[in-house]
Amino acid sequence: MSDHAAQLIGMALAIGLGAIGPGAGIGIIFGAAIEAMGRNPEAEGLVRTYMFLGFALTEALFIFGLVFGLLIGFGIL
Amino acid sequence: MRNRILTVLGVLTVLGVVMYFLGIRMTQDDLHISAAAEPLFCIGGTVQGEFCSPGTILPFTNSVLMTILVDLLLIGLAFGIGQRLQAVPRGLQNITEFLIEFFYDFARGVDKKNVAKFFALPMTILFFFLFGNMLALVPGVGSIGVCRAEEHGVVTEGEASAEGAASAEAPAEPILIQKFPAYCGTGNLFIPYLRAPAADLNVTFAFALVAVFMVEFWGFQALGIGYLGKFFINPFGKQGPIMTFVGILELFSELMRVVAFAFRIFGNIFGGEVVLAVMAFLFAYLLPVPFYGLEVFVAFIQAVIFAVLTVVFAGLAVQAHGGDHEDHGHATNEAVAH
Amino acid sequence: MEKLGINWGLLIAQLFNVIFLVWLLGQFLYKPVLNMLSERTRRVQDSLAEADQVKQQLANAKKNYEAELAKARQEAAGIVAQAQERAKVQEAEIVAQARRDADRIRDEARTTASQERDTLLSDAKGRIADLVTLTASQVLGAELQAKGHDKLIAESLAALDRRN
Repeated sequence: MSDHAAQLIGMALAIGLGAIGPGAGIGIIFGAAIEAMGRNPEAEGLVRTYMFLGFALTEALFIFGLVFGLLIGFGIL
Repeated sequence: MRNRILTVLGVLTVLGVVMYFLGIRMTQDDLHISAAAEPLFCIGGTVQGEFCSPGTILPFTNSVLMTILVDLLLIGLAFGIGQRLQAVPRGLQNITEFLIEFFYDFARGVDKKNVAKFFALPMTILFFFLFGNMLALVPGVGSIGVCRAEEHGVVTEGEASAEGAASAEAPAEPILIQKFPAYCGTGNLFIPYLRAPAADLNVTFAFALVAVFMVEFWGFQALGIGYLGKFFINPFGKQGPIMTFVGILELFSELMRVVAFAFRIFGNIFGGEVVLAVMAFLFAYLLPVPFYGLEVFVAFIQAVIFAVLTVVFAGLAVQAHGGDHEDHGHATNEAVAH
Repeated sequence: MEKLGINWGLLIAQLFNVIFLVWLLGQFLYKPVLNMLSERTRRVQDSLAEADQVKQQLANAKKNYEAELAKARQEAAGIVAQAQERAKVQEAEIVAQARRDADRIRDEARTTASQERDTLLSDAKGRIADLVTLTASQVLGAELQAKGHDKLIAESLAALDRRN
């Protein structure tokens, strides 16, 4: 296996595995937020604010995976 | 209206496919991705491809140039708006006041008592990254630059202008775009003049270091030496040895915040740029548009996140200890109550 | 480190940049803007309170005005009623006076008329009696005493009366 192939596999693994957790997390966040909005529609604005906060924090984990995957894949690291 | 939009999209798609097969497209060689900001010139050294020669005092990178632009913008805002405020706001003053008031209200919801002390740092973070990220999305920021030989100094200094990411091109088979006069040939490096400040780890680490340092500083200021009691808990005391371990973990997470802060915004902005570049490489017409919209959203929300987390951490740090979890719940409750 | 782009010189330069920006913006942007915002809040509150006050005053003035108007109207009505009452009284008085006057005048006229008639009658009676007496005395030539013929005279007078 050449270096380049190993790099590509590493990149794919980093991005793919890194997407699992945040994917589930983002799903939970939005599901819970929609449920909260349904139960308490007056708090919709507040819920949406915190929903996006949680979304960004969770998504950052995937972004870590993405960045390091890219760094590996393009041979920067 | 709907029909018109669909028509325009269809025409653009057809046009894109035609252009793609005519050879106006990116090749893999054009997909130049660099995690480091490229130097435009080196103070006390010479440029060697992507890097400065050893012994350089200070490389003047493209993200430094962008940082200076954003700084000038903010200073202009401070002296153009902040120093001649009008009782009846209009135009830019409205926006500035809205941003400041919006964030001030949030910060007051987190910690009412210390908001005046906290406010300047997170607000500056918000302004800097908001403007930096948004300006970085302006077409031409990552796509107008110079061509430079791959290694050893400046060989070609020809200007390369590129529309979107579509026209920075490369060889293999002769593609139409390679015959364009400003084309950056094979073996040359394309160095953009401007780069998003958040896509440079120096900038994000500088902000993260200042933010975490100030959070710890405020913690010590509010609680004195007792601030350390949050992390070093007597294993034979009331809270028991498990909390001692948790305290040590807290200390590490406190330090890891620097890295988390720095890499969170760097990753989002740099990753976004890479995604846009890859999408433009796959199919440069219309395909990057939804991702562009996502990047606008990310540019806004990541700036807000950095600022909000700074405020929340500062609010946590100045509260008297009594278990991190209680603190956390307390802060959240306050924010929600607000 | 180098591939990630971290450069100690740049990092320190950016640190200074951050500190400078925080200081400058805090001093020249946030402070004046927040002052301005609180100032504006204060002013809006003040002017709202002022507007409330003015509204209250206006309402009070209106209430006063209406009360005064009602009072004036009442007074006017009172005056009119009084005047009417007085006029009625006066009218009654005048009517009564007039009636009294008329009665009096009529009475007087009646009295005067009856008196005159009485006078006239008595005059006429006297004169007739004289004439009769004279004529009779002349006709009879005798020294007829008036007292002997009183009965005759009275009878003739009564006849006269009846004929009247």
